[in-house]
Amino acid sequence: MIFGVLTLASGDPLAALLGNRTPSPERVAQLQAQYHLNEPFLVQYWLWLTDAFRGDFGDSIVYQTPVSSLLRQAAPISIALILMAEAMIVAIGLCAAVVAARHRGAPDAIVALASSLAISIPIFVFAVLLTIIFGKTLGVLPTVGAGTGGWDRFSHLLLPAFALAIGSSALLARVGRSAMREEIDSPHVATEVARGIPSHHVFRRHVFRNSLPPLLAVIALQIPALIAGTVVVERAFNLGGIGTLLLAGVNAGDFPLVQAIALLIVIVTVTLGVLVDILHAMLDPRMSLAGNQ
Amino acid sequence: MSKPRRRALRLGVAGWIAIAVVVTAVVVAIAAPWLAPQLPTGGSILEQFEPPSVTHPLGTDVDGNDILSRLMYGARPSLLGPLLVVVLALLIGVPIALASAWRGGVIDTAIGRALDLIFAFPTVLIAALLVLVVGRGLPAAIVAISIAYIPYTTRLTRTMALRERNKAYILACEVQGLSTAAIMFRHLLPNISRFIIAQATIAFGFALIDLAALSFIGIGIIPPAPDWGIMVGDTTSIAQGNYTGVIAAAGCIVAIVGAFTLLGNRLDEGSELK
Repeated sequence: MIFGVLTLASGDPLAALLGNRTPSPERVAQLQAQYHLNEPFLVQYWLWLTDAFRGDFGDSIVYQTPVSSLLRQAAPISIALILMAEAMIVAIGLCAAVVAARHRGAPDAIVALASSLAISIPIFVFAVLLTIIFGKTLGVLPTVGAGTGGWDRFSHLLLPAFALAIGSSALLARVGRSAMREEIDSPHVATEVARGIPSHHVFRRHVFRNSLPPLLAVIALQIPALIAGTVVVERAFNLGGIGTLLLAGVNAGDFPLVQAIALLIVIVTVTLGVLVDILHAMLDPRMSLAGNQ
Repeated sequence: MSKPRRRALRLGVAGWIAIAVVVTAVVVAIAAPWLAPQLPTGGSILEQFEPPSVTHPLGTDVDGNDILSRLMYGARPSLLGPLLVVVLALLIGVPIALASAWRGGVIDTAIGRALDLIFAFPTVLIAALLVLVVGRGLPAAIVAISIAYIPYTTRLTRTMALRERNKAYILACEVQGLSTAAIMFRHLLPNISRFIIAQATIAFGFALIDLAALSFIGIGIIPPAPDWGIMVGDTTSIAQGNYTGVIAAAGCIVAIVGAFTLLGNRLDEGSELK
């Protein structure tokens, strides 16, 4: 599978390199040597693959520095953004789900309304609205750049992470609500309540735990969307993370840079998916890692 | 014996509003050259950020273009793009899904793996790689999003086809010796068509969002062409505190997406035979 991904990601660097500039013949020869462009495709591919395994993705054409050092600068921003967003998704989504599942009537209706609103508003619209409301009108939070150092970085990433999280957390709230409701209405919960076990105890030990597997499935399904959303949010708030690098690379035809980021994104997507699967198997013994045994 | 009837489509007030929104958008998109007060491009920078007036009902944007006209012309790529995405994804996805459901075994597994592979590429990444190779523009964006949607249309259709596979009417067709193609096109597809249309309607909304997002981050439609995604991503206007175009375009996107999602869900509610 990874082999297929790599073949796809390798693409055709020659066309991109010569497509948007008219260099001198010496420069062409130098570039060809630098990027092994005069080698046959499979040789090129093999060189790129072996270098990539050692963490060497070659030099960026635009920035004229090693791609790996560019990635090292940008990665902490994107990682912090995704972690903060994921924390918000879980916190907001679970709280809303629990409230909606336990309190029928008004709280349930409010969560249903808010979540359907949040799901139908795209991430970039949220990002722009947050910029206008908090950055421009209220002026309480920074909306441009990623900041430096602990607290400054945190406050700079607060709005971007929220914009990234809101849609997924609404989806999580919905799925969580119906999963918990199903558990609450099930016979085993009715039995426990009838036996006089305190309701918060029943909820924590039986309802909440049993509704976790479908929630994990939603989180797993949202991973590609979360990564795509990172690129959008980084652009909206001008964060200078991996997504910003990707766009800069695409617009400049910087093949080594885009290749490296593509590989990175695919690896992260697949790894996160596998991690969620493992967690899923730990929570639900019926789900075996080997599939169906 | 009475024939099994589909549950009638219940639209409700919200459904009719959604239809009205979609019809309005389509009419505006088609009639943009006659309805729009100005041309969507070619404005003068001297007329930048003019307040609403008779000639510019919503004022002008950073380039001095009429905002209302840009909204109206912007409806064209914003509706045509997702339509092409959905049609492409269905044309490729449905046959693959039917083959997968009917042949089963190795073919089914191989197709499943291939879909997993595509699923590992977020839409933005597919678009980025495609733009790098063939260049930026509406066609590249449409093809990229279609590729990203094929796993979804295929999986949903396959599940539905598998569910129908063992129903009596399909078995009856097989006993009568009908060819596989005849069963699929004359019996299976008509029976799951409403489900497919419902999913396509919902996907239309998502495709509109994805397409606008690509234009927003600068790898979709090329400015100064009028497009809602480009209008929302107008950072210069936001920085200068002029939000009219941004908010109006965002409102258009949300209204159309909401309408399509609602209609898709209504269709889906009644998509199975009673």
